[in-house]
This record gives sequence, structure tokens and C-alpha cells, in this order.
Amino acid sequence: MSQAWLSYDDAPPFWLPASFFGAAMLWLLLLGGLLLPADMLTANRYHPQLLALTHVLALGVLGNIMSGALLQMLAVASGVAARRASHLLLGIFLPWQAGTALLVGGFWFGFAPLALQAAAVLLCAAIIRLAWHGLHGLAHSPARDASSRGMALALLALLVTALLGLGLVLTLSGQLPLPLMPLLHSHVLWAAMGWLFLLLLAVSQTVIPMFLITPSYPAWMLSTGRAVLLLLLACSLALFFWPAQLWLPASLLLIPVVLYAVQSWRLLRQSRRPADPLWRQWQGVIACLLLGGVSAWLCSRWTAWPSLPLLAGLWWLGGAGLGATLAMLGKILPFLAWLHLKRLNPPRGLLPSTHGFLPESAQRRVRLLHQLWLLAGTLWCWQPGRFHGLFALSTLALASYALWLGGKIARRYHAVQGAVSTAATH
Amino acid sequence: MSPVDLRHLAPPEPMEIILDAADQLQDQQTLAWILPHHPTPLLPMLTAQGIAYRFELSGDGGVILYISKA
Repeated sequence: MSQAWLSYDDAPPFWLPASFFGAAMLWLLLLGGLLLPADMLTANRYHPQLLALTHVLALGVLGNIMSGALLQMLAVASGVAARRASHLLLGIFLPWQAGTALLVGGFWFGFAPLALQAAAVLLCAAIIRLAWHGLHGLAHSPARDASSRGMALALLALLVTALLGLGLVLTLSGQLPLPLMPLLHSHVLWAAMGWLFLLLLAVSQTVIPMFLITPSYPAWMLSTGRAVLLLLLACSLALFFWPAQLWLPASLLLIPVVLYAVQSWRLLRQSRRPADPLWRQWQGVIACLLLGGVSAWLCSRWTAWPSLPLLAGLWWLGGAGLGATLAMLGKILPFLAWLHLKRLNPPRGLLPSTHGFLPESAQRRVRLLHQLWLLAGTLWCWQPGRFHGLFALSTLALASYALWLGGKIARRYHAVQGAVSTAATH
Repeated sequence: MSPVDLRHLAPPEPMEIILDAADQLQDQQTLAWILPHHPTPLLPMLTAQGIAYRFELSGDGGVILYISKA
């Protein structure tokens, strides 16, 4: 694996990624709040409430964590400086939250066209700004490592996902005469396999060897990202020409998922830190990727069980996506807090270790709550009318605990920052 | 001087220990640690503190990091 370009001077201020992470946990809390009054009695992937809940998870929770982490990684690992952090907050963070809120509201209240159109415009604006920042920056960066190239591919996929989403909204509101189902399937494929899977692929190539002390991913994995992007392009075109043959793209796209899962599993078995909470968390991520991928493949061949598409979405987004992002937050957030404070040159003994910001026991409790959440979600996908209360309560428990931990890190950060300022003035 | 083995510690604990030691490094003093792999994230921070570094292979899969004042 080629080495990343590391530059802590280019890192954005702590509040920029922290704003995205904090907003993600609030969206997770809202997910629980929306599940309580949800009245979807039987599984139906096109139910407006299900679409609203899916976008709360995909955009509100995962999108925020992934964007915040991406801005941080672009700066530190790829030399793409976030110098005007307030501009990024205005251009990405605010339209992202407003667009997600309008989209969720638009779905929840039965496909309200004005809300959906406003949401599509705001989300496209936020994503174009994020993609411009990342792609333009990467084009001028000296970094040529696997993670930097992977992040560029994931950003391209995010951009295509957003444009397909805009096309869907315009088609739904009768302003574009595009074929709805190929557009919908392409949107889902680019979001799930492009944005989420490609970013996971890029980030894990740096993070897994570093934190779990494993050998590097093999060199051929580096070209998997480009192959996935080309496959996505070919599959989207095929969907528009042969919309009934959904099994073909589903089968082709399952191949890189299985390859990544097998390779990651082999690396985990060679890890020198199997007691690290991240080790078990990543095992869960791999299992959920396989479960979600196989379920999505089965959906393309077998439509008799309406719960199956819900399970595919839950295991992919909630199992693999949320599992991976929570695991990464457990490592990245305390390290960021420590790193920013270290750069203030605190007096000796004042700065706690990263485990002082977030102990491993807390990370294990997050993993346990996430597993319970996933179990409750699986039951909910099977019988939504019967298990929505259980799923709502487990979501609220996970979100509340994560928010409490985030608050604890923030309080510790401000306490040390204040003490450093006081020490500097005396 | 025998290097201290930090391979059993969870990342980024080795980084914290090395930076803490780098803060108190005396002129002409050299410190060494055995790490599980090349510590890429640590190097720009050592450079920023005016610390020179070099590496040797430990012979059992690790890397020995030596630091001294630049």
C-alpha cells in the first residue's frame, strides 16, 4: 500500500467534523422518534414512511458521519486543506441538514412534491460543493495513495447518486418523462455500492492495518474501486435497456462485495489486536455486508417475500454502514480531540490519553447496543406492525448513549482547552 | 540502549508515548521503540517538533524507531 500524504497543518478545526458527527446522532434520535408513531403494518418497500426512515438513516445519520470523516481525511491524509471551514459549514452542512429534513418530510407526508423538489435542490447543492472540494482538491494534491484514490471514486459515486435522486424527484412530480424503475434501481445501486461501499473500501485500507495491526490489503484490492465504478456504469445502462433483468447487475456487483469480505476476514484473522473492540465490530460489518448483498441479490430473483428488500436495506445501511461508521467514530473522535489539544502544546500532565476521552469499555457498549438495534430492526422488517415499538426504543437507546458519549468528549475537550488557555496566560 | 517494545499497545497509545518522550528529549540523547509497522501518522508530528528519526527492522516483523534532536 502506498503511504498517505499526512499533513496535520491542513486539518479543519475540531468543530467542523464534530458538527457533522453531532448532527448524525440527532438524526439517529429522530429515527427513533419517527418509528414510535409509524403505522406501516406490513412490509412494503415503497411505503412513504419507509422511504422517509431510509433517508433519515442514509442521509441524516450515515451521510453526516461519512461527510464529516471525509472532510477530515481529505485534509489530513490527502493534503486537501479545509481552510475556509465556515464556508464548508454554510455550503455543505446547512443545506445537507435542510435538504434531508425536507426530503424526509416530503416522503412522510405522502410524496409532497414541493418539499421533495426543494430537498433535491438543497441536497444536490451540498453534494456538488462537497464533491468540488474533494475532487478539485485531490486533483491538485500530491497524495496518490489507495485511500485518496478511493475517496475520489466514492465522491464521484455520491455525485451520480444525487443527480439520479434529482431525476427521480423530477420524474415523480411529472416534470421529466424518465422511466421510474430503472432510475430508482440505479439510484439505490450508486448509493449503496458507489458511495457507501467504495468509501468503506477506501477507508478500511488505511484504518484496518493501522488500528488492528494486520498486513496491508493486497495490491489488487486497490483496483477494485475502479472496477466497481465501471460495473456500476455498465449496470445502470443495462437497467435502462433491459429493466426486467435486475438479477444481472445484482449478481455482478455481489462479486466485489464477496472479494472484499473474504480478504478483510483473512486480514482480521492475522490481526495482532483481536481484543480491540474494532475487531469484533468489523467482523459484524463484514457479516452484514454479506447478508445485505445476498439478500439484495435474492430480491432480484424472488419477489414473493416483501420483507426481503427491507432486510437487505437494514443489513446494508444499518448493519454494515452504521456498524462501520460507529466503529470508526469510536477511534477517530477521541483521536481528533487529542490531536487538536496536543497542537495547543498543553503543559505536561494536562492532556488525557485518547482512552481518557473514550474508554474501550464504552466502545464495547456501543457495539452491544448496535447489535440489539440490528436484532430489533430485523424483527421489525419481518413484522413492522408488531415490532415497531421495540425497534423505536432500541434506536432511542443507541442514539441517547452515543449522544451522551459525544457530550462527554466535548466537555472533556473544552475543559482541557480552557485549562491550556489559563496556563498560557499565567 | 535497548528499545522499548510498544507492539502490545492499542493505537494511538504508542504515538502518545513517543510524542510525550520527544517533548522531554535532551540534546545528544537517542530513544528507541519497537513498533508493529511504519508509524506514518507520527512522522509529521515529530518533524514539527524538530525531532530527527530513523528506522531499522527488528527482525521479527516489527520496526525500530530511533529519535534524537535534529
